[in-house]
Amino acid sequence: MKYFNGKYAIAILCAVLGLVISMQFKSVQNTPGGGTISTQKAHQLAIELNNLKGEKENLNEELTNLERRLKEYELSESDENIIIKNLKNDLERYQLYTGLKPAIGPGIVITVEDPINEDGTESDISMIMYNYDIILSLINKLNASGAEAISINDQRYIATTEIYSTSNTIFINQVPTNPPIVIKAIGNTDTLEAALNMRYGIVWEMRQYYGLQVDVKREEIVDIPRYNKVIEYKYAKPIEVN
Amino acid sequence: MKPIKRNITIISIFLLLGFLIVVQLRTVKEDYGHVTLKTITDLQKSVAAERQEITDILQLIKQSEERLYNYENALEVEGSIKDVVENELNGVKMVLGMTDLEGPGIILRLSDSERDLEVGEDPNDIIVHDSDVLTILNDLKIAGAEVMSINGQRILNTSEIKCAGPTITINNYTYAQPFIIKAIGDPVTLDAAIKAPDAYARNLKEFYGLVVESETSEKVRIPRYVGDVNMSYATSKEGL
Repeated sequence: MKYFNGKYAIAILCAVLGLVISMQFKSVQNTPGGGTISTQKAHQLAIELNNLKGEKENLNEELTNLERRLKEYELSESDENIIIKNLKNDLERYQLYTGLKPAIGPGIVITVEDPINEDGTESDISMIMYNYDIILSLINKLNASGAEAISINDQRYIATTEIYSTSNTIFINQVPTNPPIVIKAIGNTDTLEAALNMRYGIVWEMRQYYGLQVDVKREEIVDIPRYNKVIEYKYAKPIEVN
Repeated sequence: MKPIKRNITIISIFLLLGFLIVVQLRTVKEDYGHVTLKTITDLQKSVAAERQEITDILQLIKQSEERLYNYENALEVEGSIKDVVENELNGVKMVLGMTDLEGPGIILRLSDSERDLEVGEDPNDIIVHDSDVLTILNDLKIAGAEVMSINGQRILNTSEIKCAGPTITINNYTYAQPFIIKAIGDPVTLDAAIKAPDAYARNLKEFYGLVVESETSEKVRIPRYVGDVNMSYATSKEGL
């Protein structure tokens, strides 16, 4: 009998062993994203992101210092010479208007988010990304209501700003970003707000036809960054005056 | 099987089993975290965006250093920075839209469909809307348009487009159809933006029957903006 028990014991043990081995394999396979490797990758990426953010901040500080020194040149000498003073005033005004300098002032902040499904989950396809033309209409409405400076997800809107989306990213000024989309505008707060919240207006359309969550907030101080690329025309040239 | 051999076999199998059970439990434990694929792609996107912005800021730093050098140099050599300021001003005016410009590009003609409505068709389908013009302008910008105008009105960052029936209002000026859109840039990519098989403009023409004609040109002339550049609400940030 002992002889038999031994054999059975080993057989059962082997069966359990086999089961556990197969469970182990399956669990490694099934962990979303590929198992333990992903966690490492996520950590690596998070650290890299942190480093890059730090580097960007340092560079931004350096740039701001340079711009302050430039501004000093623009402020000095202006008392002595009326011509230079006027030139400098124009320079500052045009730089601000066209997006080369950051702007502050009263205005509104609009936050646009994808609709939430009825069961509370997020959908795979972003409604905003699929219909980014609705953002174009929103910007147009702001311009029609006297907006003096506009930014979309901290990208200054200038004459050449384009919006396009690939399958999972939206690009503004060729910088990738994702919903929620935060649009800031400086102007007459009452006019801007009224134009947006008009009956059957743009915000109504966004909520009604696209199911988007749109929040319009009045702000005393709206902070809009400068356009942060160098602008160079490769094709357009001034017309030679003969 | 000899008792000793059998016992050793059982012990070693138990050891292996125990080891595997422990590893199994450790894998399932929350320690490893629940890292989804989406988290990884989001992180990768953020990293790419930061890299792009750093490249852009480096360019700006280079440009600012050049401008600073110009000021310092002018002060030393000529004793006055008037010329430097004038140059800077002309540069900004060009970007803003206050200079007549010319270059290769595309000219587009857009107007309502000329065909009759079919039975049960929505009249809205055969006329030009704000969103049509906005989308076409956006497509041109994606294709690298540097400067644009509609019916001679320069498009600025503050320009609004209002289509009302047969007219269009831009920069508070109103024009009748046809709407002539001009853009300066690479003629090949601009043309593709209008004529490619899945382009919005082409769809308007082939599916809705709107009049959409375009031609590229080596010499597209776009006039300057002639209005006011005044701001009542926006001001510069301190010191900048």
